[in-house]
Amino acid sequence: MQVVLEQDPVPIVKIMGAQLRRALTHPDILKTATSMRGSFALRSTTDPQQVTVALARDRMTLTRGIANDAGIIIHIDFRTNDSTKVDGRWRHPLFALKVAKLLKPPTPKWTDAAKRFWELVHAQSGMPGTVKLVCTDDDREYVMGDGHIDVEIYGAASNLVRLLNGSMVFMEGAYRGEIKILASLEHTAVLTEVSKKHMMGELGI
Amino acid sequence: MEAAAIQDWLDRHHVEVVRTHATTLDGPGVGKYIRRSKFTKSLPMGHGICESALSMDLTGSPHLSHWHPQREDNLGDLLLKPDLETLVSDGIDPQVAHCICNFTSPDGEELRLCPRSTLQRVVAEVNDLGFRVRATCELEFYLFRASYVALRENEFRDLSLVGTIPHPTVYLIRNAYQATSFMREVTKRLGLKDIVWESWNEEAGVGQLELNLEPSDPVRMADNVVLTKQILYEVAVDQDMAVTFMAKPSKSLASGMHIHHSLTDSSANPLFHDPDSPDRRSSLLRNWLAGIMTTLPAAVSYLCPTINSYRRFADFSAAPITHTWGEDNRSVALRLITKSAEATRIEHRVGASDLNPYLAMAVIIAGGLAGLRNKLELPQEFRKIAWGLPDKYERLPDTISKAVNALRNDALLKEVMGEDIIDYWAKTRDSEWLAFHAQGGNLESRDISDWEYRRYFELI
Repeated sequence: MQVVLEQDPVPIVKIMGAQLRRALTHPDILKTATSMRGSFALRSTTDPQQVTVALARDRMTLTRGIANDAGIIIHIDFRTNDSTKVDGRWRHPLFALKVAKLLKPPTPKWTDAAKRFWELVHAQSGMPGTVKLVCTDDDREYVMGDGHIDVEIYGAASNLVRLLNGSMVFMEGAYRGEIKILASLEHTAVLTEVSKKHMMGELGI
Repeated sequence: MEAAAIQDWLDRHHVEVVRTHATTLDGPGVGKYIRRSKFTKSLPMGHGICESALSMDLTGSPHLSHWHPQREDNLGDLLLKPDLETLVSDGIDPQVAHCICNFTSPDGEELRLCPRSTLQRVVAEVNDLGFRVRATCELEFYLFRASYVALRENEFRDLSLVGTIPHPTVYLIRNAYQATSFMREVTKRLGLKDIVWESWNEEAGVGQLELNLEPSDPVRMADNVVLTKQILYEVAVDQDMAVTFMAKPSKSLASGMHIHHSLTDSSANPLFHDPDSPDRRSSLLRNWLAGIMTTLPAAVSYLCPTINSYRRFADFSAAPITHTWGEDNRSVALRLITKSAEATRIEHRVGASDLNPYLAMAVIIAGGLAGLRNKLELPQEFRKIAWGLPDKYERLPDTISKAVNALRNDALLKEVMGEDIIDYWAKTRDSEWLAFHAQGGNLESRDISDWEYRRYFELI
C-alpha cells in the first residue's frame, strides 16, 4: 500500500506518514488497511496540529488539517499516541475499530527495535560508534555498535521502544526524564537529529 | 586600531566600560559589559563566552539537534574577538564604549559559523578579484506607543501604533510627524556612533517607518544595521515605546529589508555601468546579476529566516513573490537601477525585516560570485507587474520548508559559502519549522500566532 504525503508536508503529516508506513509492515494491519475506504482525522490535544488520512484501495493520502469528509476525528496526544475522544465512532463503528488497529500496531521488543534502529542510523554523520542501552525495568543491557561505549541510554522498556521506534526525540525524552543519558553535547545533538529524522521517516522504515 | 593605541583611545573618550556585541545566526546581539581593565587585558584575543551564545535559537536554547565540528563540546568557551576598528563611544552614557566582535575558537581560530566571519570571507573573495562591494540596507520597522512590558502583558493584542491615519498610506508626513520625537533621539544616537543616516519616512502604513543608511562596505553596513536596530530598541525602551522587526506583526503591510549593492574597482569607480552598451549594463553586471537570479530561490532561506517572514508573501502586498528581475520595477524580486554610472545598482527586494544582515549580504554576494565564476547568462527581463501572474511564472519559495529545500539543492551557493555552513543553517531552519508546528503555531490561520509574537516580537 502506498502512503502519499501532501506537497510541502508539515511535521505531523511526515510523522504520521512514517508511523503508518511502519504499521503497514505488519501483514494483518496491511490487510486491514487495504479493506478500508474513507477518511479519518487526528486532532492534537496539545497544539493546533491536525492531519487527515484518506484511504482508497491501495493508497493512503495524508494532508494537513481536518477534511470535511473525515468520518471520524480522533483527539490525540501525539507524544504518547493516547486518544482522549473519538468523534463519529458511533456512526462509523467498524471503520473506527479499524482505525484504532492501524494506529496501535504491535509493539516490538525493545531489543528488536534497537537492532532496526541501529541499521537505520549507524552510518549517519557524527554518530557515536557504540551506544549502550539499559532497560531499567530489569537492568538488561544491549549494546549497539562495537568498541568503546560513547553513549549510554537508560529507560523503561516502553520508553526505549518509543525512542527506537521513531516516537520520541532523543533530547526531548531526556528533558522530560523519560530516558536518562550519559553523552557528550556533540553526541546528544547528533542523536537528537537522527531521532527527529527517524520520527519523520527520513531514514527509511 | 592597534591594541597598543587602545589605552590612549579609552583615555581620550573617558571610557570605563566596553560593551561587546556579536551577532548570532538568528540575528540577536550577544555580548558583555566589561570593565576597561578586563577588556584591555583580554586583547587581542578577546573574552570568553559560552559556546551556546553562538549556537542557540531564539528561545535561548542551545542547538541540540545539529552539530558542527567547530563547536565546543560540553558547552565549553568560545571567544568574542573585538574588531577594534569598530570601537565607538556610546555618546549617551559617557563611561561606555561599544565594540563589534567575531566569534572565534578558544585559540583564536575563525569560526565558520560566525555570521560576521561568513560575510567577511565572501567579501574577501570579491576583493581578491580586484572589486569592491558597496551596499546599504533599508530598515523597515513598526513603532508602537506602548512599552514592551505593556504589549507583552496584553499578549500583543490591541497593538497601539504610532500614527493615526488608519488606512494604508505611504510617505505621509502627518503620520511621520507623530514619530518625530522618537526618531529625533534615534538619529541623534546614530550620529554619536558615527552611523550616517540618509533619510527616514513613514513607509506603507500607520506605525511603519523606514530608515535609510549611507552605503558602505558590506561588513561595515551589516555592523551599522545591527547597531541601528539596537539603538532603535534602546530609544524605544527609554521612551516607554516599542519597535519590532518582525516581518508581519499585524494584518497591515509587512516589513522588508531591501538591500542595495553595486561593484566598484579598488579606486571606487563604478563597474556595473557601461556607457557603450545600449542598455548601459556592463557584462560584469550581467554575470553578477545572473548569479543572484540563479541562486535566488535558495537564498530565500537566508533572506526570509523565520516562519513570520513568509506571511509577507502575497500578491499585491508590495513584497516580491516571483523569480524575476527588471529595470526600475518595484514588483520584481531584483530591481535594477541604471540611471547614472554612480547610481547603477541592484536593489534586492526579497529580504524580510527579520533577516540577519551579515548572512543576507553574504548569500547575495555569494550568488554574484557564482555568476562571475560560471559566467552565467542573465534570464529575460520581466517588464510587467509581477503580481497576480498565471501559474506558469515561477514563484519564490513561500514557506520556510520550501526555501530550505531549495537551499539544500543549490550547488552554487554551497561552493561559495561552504557546504558545512549551508547544512548547519538548513538544520536551524528545520528546527524553526518543527518548533512552530509542534509548539502551537498554525500556518493556515491568517492571524499572527501567539507563538510568533512571543518568539520574534522583541528579539528579532
